[in-house]
Amino acid sequence: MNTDPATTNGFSDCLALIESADPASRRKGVAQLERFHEPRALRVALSLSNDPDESVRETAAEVVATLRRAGVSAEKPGKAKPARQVATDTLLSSPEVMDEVFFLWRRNRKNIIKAWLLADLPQILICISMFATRNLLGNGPVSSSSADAVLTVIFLVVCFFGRPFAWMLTGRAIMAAFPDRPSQTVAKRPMSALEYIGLTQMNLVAQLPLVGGAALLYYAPPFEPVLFFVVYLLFFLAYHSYTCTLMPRQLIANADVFVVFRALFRDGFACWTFQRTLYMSFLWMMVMLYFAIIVSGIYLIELLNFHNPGYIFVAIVTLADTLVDTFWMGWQLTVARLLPGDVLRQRSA
Amino acid sequence: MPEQLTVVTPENIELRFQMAGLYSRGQAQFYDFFYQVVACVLLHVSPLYIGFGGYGYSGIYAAYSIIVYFLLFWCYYPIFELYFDGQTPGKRKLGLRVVMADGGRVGFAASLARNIIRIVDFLPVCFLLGMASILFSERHQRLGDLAAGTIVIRDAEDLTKAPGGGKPDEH
Repeated sequence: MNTDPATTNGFSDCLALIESADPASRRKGVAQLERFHEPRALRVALSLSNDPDESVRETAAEVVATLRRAGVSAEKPGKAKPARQVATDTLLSSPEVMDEVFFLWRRNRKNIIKAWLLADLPQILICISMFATRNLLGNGPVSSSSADAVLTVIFLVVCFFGRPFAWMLTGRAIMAAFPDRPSQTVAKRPMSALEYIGLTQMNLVAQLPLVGGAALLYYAPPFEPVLFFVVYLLFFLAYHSYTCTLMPRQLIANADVFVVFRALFRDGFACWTFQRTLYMSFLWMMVMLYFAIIVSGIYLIELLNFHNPGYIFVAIVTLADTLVDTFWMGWQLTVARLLPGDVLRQRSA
Repeated sequence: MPEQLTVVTPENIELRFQMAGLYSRGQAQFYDFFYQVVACVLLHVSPLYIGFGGYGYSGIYAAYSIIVYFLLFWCYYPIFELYFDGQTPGKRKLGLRVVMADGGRVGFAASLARNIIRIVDFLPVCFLLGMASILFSERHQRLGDLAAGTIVIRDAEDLTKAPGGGKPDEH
């Protein structure tokens, strides 16, 4: 009997199996339902979850779970839930969203690692060169101030012009890990200079206030440094949690920057509240990962008795940042996909 | 889409488990560590209030402390995993459970093995090796899990109910 979802009579054959008198055929028919990612399959499975046959009932429950996880809803198309609700129903809690980031990473890890190595090469080289030249910097032929200046310039170039490139490469590799067709379309879309420009503009909006504030805090705090630090920290958390989906929105939509901005502002507070809920889990994860890497680094400094531990520490923080980069991007993309933004749906469909 | 592990039993029944990811496992570990610290402090301080404190930092008190630390460090996980069906308090909070790779209940030897090797997973510090192992192993296993043949899964929930706790969809 033909139960191939690609064929027109696949579903009716499946129903025929379910309606047969043979229990084994019925079970087989129910199990086949999960191949049809359609509301009608979910409706049939739901009705069978009260079947007198226990094995049919159990199989039907599994099919319902599988279809729900795949985002299938039994409701009529007119009453379809917003994408965000479907997604949050599927991913039930913040820890599950965070776990999903790691699952994504695993699904396409080869390509993600390749893209990461290419995109984050400057940062990796900076780390290596900092380890290699630790004895020259500060107390050797290179003065501390010139080393600071070089590092600052490299940081600014990487931060403002390297990030868009990283999003184009690593972001695409992460998008390829999502199983749905719109994500695959984004992952396979050819790269273009226009896309890079759009991402660069968006990156400036997302990063400039944060980097500017940090520079102000470090070089010339306008008032009491401790108080300014607290103000900056609050601003950082608020601004960062509000704008953290700008880059993935731009990557997915590849639209005019202002269109994406409008979507961000239109989503407004509701969107921000949603993001902030997930943001706390994200902060937990970041604390966990950074802590693990940085404490390991500090042990390394002590163990190997490195000179110039200040520079080595900066190198370790940069390395930690580089290592968690793909997870950070994965989280941003996952959250962006859970948002109800029209731009995401219209442009990526 | 959460990751699933499918196990086919000798009776040809398909069992599906939703795997626990790195984040929820890390958070559960954090909670367990917190509970261990709280228990440690309470067990360390309580003798002082029940008259045992007269010994001060004598040999008996030191021995008592060592036994408390030893038991909390080495027995916390196996005891909870064995007597609470694969769930420590931290895992219970996150809805996780340790089971054998074939879906069976975790046994004494497996629980002991996975928890002895926890110390290797901790290396170099903060479970870096364990994290890497979870990320790269086929079934999200840390080294202890690989040695003991165990996996950590999410507890099954009744997904036939409509999302959000409502009634099932009408059809």
